[in-house]
Formats: sequence, C-alpha cells, structure tokens
Amino acid sequence: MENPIAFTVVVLSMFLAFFVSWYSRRWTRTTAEFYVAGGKIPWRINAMAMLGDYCSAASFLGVAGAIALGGIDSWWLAVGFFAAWIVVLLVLAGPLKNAGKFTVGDLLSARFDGKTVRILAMLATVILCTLYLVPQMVGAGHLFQLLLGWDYITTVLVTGSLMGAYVVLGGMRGTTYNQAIQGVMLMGAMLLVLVLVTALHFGGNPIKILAAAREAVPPSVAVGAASQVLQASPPEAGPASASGAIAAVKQLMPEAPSAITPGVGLKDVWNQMSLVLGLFFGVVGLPHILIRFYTVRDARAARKSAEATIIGLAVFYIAVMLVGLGGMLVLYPTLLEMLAAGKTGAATNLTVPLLGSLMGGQVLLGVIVAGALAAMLSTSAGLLISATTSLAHDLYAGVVKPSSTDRERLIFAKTCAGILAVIAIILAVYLKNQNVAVLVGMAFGIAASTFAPALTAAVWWKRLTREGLIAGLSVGLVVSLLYTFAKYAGMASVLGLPVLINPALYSLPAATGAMILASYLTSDRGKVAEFMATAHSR
Amino acid sequence: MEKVLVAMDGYEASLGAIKKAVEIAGRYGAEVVAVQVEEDVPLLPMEKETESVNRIREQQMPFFSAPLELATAYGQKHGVSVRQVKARGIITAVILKIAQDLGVDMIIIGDSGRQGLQKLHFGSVSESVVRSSAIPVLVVKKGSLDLSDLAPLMTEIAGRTVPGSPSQPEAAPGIFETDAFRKRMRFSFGLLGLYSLIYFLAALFTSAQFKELAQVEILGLPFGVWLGLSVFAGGLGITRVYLVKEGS
Repeated sequence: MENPIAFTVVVLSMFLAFFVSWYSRRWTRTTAEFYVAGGKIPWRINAMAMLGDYCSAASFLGVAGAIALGGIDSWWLAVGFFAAWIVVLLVLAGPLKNAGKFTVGDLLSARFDGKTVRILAMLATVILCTLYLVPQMVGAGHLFQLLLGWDYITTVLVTGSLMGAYVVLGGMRGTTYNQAIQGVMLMGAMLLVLVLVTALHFGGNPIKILAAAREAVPPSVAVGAASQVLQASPPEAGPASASGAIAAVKQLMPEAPSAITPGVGLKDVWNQMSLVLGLFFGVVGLPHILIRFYTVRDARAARKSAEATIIGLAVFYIAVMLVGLGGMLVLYPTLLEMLAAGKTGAATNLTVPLLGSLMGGQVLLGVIVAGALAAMLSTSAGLLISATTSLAHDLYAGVVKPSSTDRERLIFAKTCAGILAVIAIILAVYLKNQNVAVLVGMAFGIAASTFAPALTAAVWWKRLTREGLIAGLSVGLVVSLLYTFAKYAGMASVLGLPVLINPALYSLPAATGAMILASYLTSDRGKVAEFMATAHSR
Repeated sequence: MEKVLVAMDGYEASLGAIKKAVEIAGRYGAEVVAVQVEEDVPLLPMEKETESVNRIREQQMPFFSAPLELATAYGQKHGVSVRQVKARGIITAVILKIAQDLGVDMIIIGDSGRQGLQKLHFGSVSESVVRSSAIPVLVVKKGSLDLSDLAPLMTEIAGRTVPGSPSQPEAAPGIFETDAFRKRMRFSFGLLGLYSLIYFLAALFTSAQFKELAQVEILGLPFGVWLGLSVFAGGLGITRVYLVKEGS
C-alpha cells in the first residue's frame, strides 16, 4: 500500500460518519428539550443532506481539476451547477412537496393515473440515475488508484462493489443522516484546502490567487511547451519550481491567454449554450435531488431547505474555483508532466488530492480523499436509492405485483440496487478517461430534456394532456440519449446536426415542442383541478 | 390524580400502555390523555419503509395504525373519558411538553425491549422519558400484559378507517384559487425569467464568439469572471426575494 496513513485517515473518518449517522436516529427520538427540537432542525438536516447528495465527485474533484488544467472557463460547470438550484426553488420545490409522496412517477401519476406514465417515469429515473452513477465510479477509481497504487480497473471493481454493497446492506437506513454528515465533510474538506493553500502559498489573501492566475498560462494550453519547461523545472522540485515553470511558459508563449481569461477552453457559442442550458434545467429533472423534497414536512420547509442548500453551494463553488486556480499555480509542473504523459483522466480529476498531499502530506491527503469519498458515497447512495425506490414503487408495486408487501418491495429494491451498481461499474471501466464533471453534465442534459419540461408542465400548465406528457418524456429521452451516446462514440454529427458537448440544445426544445404539440392535439388533461389544488396549496 | 398521559405509536408495546392507562384512570376517576407523536425527521420514503418493515418484524402483534381511536374505544368500554392529542416533532420532547402543558399527573409509556444495535440506532423513548420527566412515569414492557381483549376493538376500528402507512399521513388537499395561482405563476416565472437573463447572457459572453468582450478587464478581473460571480450574487438575491414573498 502506498499511503498507509492517508488510508487510515479515510477509513477512520468513514467509520465515524457511519457511526454518527447510525447514532443520530436515536437523537431524533430521545431528545428531551422541546425548543431545541422545534421546527428548524428537520429542514436544516435536509439541506445538509441535499448538499451531500448533490455535490458529487463532479463538484469535488472534477470542477476543480478542470479549472486547474484549463483555467476559468471550466468554472462554468460550477456556475451552472449552482444556478440550476434557483430554477428548482422557483419552479418546483413547493409544488413537488405538496403533490408527491415517493417518486417522480408518483407525482406525475397523481395527475395522470395509469401505467404508461408511471412506467415511463420509472424508465427515465433508472436511466438517469445509472448514467449519473458512472462518474461517481470513475472518480472513485482514479482516487483510489492515487491513494493505494492499484490499477484503475481493479480499483473501480473494488470501490464500485463497495459502494453498491453499502446501499444494499445498510445504506437504506440512516441514508439521510449519513448524507448530511458527508455534506458537512465534503464542504469542510474543500474549505480546509482553500484556507491552507491561501495561507501557505498566497500570504493568506485569496485575491492573490486570482492575481497570480492572471500571469499563468493554463496547463492544457501550455502542454506543447512541456518538454522544454520541465527540464528546467521538474515537478520533483516542489512548489518552488512551479513559479519558475509558470514564468518559463509565459516567456515561451507571451500571447497565450491566462488562466482567468474567459474563452480559452474555446467552446463555441453552440456548445457553450447547450452545456449551460443542460445544466440550468438539469436539477429540476434529477430524481435523486427531487426525492429529497419529499422528506420535509411541508412546502415551506422544502423551500427553506432549498435556500440553505443554495447558500451552501454558493460558498462551495466559489471555494472550488479558488482551489482549482490555486492548485494549478502550485502544481503547475506536475500537471504539465501528467498531461504530456497522456494521463489526462488522472490529471483532470486529481488536482485537489494532489494539492492536499503536497501541502499536508498523507494526513491531509487522507482528509481530502475522505471528503471526496463522502461526496461520491452520498451521491451514489442517493442515486441508487431513488432509482430503486422508483423500481420498487412504480414498477413492482405499481404494475408487477400490486399486492406485494413492504418486505417484498424492499427485497426487490435491494436486488435492483445491486444490478444497477454492476451496470455502472461496467460503464465506468469503459469511460475511464472522461472528466467526471463532463460526464455529470451529460446526465444533467438528459434530465433537463425529460423530467424538467414534464414536471414543470405538470405542475404549472393546465392545458397539458396525458399524450403531451408521454410525447414530451419519450422524445426528450430518445433525443438526449442519442446525442449522448453519439458523443461517446466519437461521432461528429447525427441526423445532420453536429454532436455537441451536451445534448440539451437539441433534446430540450424537441421534448418541449413535442409536449406542447401533442397537448394541443389531444384533450385528456388528467385530474387537473384536484392535482393543481394539492400542488399549489399553501 | 386527574390526568393520565399515555404515549403511543401503534406498535405492540404501546397497546399495553393503553390498557394500563385506562385501568389506572378508571380506578382514580381520571381522564386519559392519549398522545400520538408523528416524527418530524427528514427521512427518505424508502428509509421510512425500511424502518417500519424492520420494526414490524420485531413484533408479535401487527402494527395498528389508529391507536388514538383504539384508546378512545377501549376507554368507552370501561367508562373512562379519553382526550386525543396528535402532535408532531421529536417524540420524547413532545411527550414531555404536552404533559407539562396539560398538567398531567402521570405518564404511562410502553417499552419495546429493544436491545443491542437496534437500541443503539433507535434509542429508547421510554428510557429518555423516565430520565427527563419531572412527574411519575410508569413503563409497561412489551409482552407484560394480555392484549387479547383489544383484538375485537382493533378489527372494528380497522373496518371503518382506511389503513395508512405509519409515517405517511394523507395531506388534506387545499382549495384551488385561480387568481392566487396566476399570481404565483407570474411571480415565480417572472423571477425565473430575470435570472435566466443574467445566466444566459453571462454564458453567452463567455463563449468563444464573444470572448473579446469577456476578456475586458474591470477592476483587475476580466468581465467574464464578474459575470460568473454575478450569477451567484443574483441567485442568492432572487432566492431571498422569493422566500420573503412566499412567506417563509
């Protein structure tokens, strides 16, 4: 084992998180002080759990890594990850809580009963959750490759199985409290890295990170000059050689854009728009986030949890930007060397742990890996649980065996969790070299094209019909999957349209258009009056 | 003694507590205050189901979803008046608060006899009530009383009420007011439109085609970075405005 101390720190903190979440359930039953217990705690815990649920490997490792390689442009992922929550709050948080009970399928079939809508919702939920699970596994693979020195495939197999086992064996109990604790852990780890990198390398002033980044050429641009620069400033020389390398690159390419110059990543307007569109409307369609709104007592508490999450995310993503830029500046030669050697997957996903290891040795590496693992585990648990809730509730109890007992449903759910984990592991082996944040962005695009228009219309548009809903969901799902797979298959264009970084630019308008058109051609509006009264009650 | 509080959740242990409460209240001519606390914990639906599946497995008797009605019916049968109180929150705290507010003389509570890991996880409400209560507490252990005479009452009540899941009470549907709906829709989507404007303009200016504009430096930072920061600031501002207006 390469990093025994770091590994011990990781294992201990995971154990602590499990113990606390197991134990905190008792606290919610046996606390005697009424005013401590009063209304605020449930939504606060829920907000922390939402943060843990939402901030995945993509946010913790992917965004910072992408910024460290490509500069400020990659921050757009984080800006979108944040902005999407405002959409959730404004459009869906309250009505969702009022009208839903278990799953997205539940909410839709509260207005349009019958099997077709439920099955379609279940299908979209399972596909989305599985695709979102893949980047968590990719992140875990790279992370433990770094930590333990195993090869990627072994690591993905082991960590993926452990993540699956965690949900199947114990994860359905204490998930909420565990996610809440992991939310605190990942936030704490990120802020700790920020404080340390600022204090140790930038004189305690975060503004200096931005100022220094202005003088640096991002490693992804500088990679052509890598061999010249690395001879003079080898990564082994530590941070001292970083400033030398940055200066040397700047001298070699004086005209090159800096790390905080917008537009370096050179996303053209269509790719950029497709990405930001997918991100913006993505969270409104992410089942593992939506399911968290069912856990609080009323619409007001749902909105309060959303606000608390939004504030937490603003802090987190600004910290991520600074850590990404700081990481670039401190690890410059290391990143250049990794890029030059073709280790893109590792370079793009491992900046934060590498930075930790450089600043605080194995202990800090352990803390950061624990934070990243917290991010992955809490997200994976949320994903597996929302997918399996939908399978157990919408498919098994709703269609296959309506007379099933709670116990049978639970066994079915756990079996499905295992199967989904295996599928995600296989995909993770295949998609090894992708940035986890980009992978997550794809899942956002699919969510934005399926549930986002469907749910928004279901709770706000009285004219929506059953056929409109079915058309919108199906078209969105098919078009977004088509362009997602085309992207990974390396195709340049499909149906005469260029394949973009995210499917949303085509699939969201297609889904919305199909939904509106079909709604105007048909007339079955479901139980619209009753549903609207429930969804919009105060 | 005038008031006896009995806390119940519908599981076996609490049914014994009902019997004991009615017996004691009958002896003293006291009133029974039957309390059912719905927990206010942010658990996922699946978590709640898992919990109830596991708890029901510990029981010899089936879970009964209408314990308050059962207490009333059992009281009636023995000529004891029963006041029903439904509350929400952290179980122990709510029981103690109600006991204090109503000036109760004695608390009667069931004990599930949970052990080991299960006890570590769930804790013991009866233990914590005993520990924190200022008034006498009587603990009725699971299996210490013969509950067979409750069965006919349970069948009768179950026949007239729709059985529900213990943790998922039906919310009463509100009244749909078209005007209020339109107003809210305008408000929500108005704010969304405003925010979309900030967001998509910021995104547009940071794409390759408009990068010259995004690269213009203002106060030491490129305009594009300011735009990104404004998405955060705008989002926080709009969130606050929305919550104030929605009365949260």
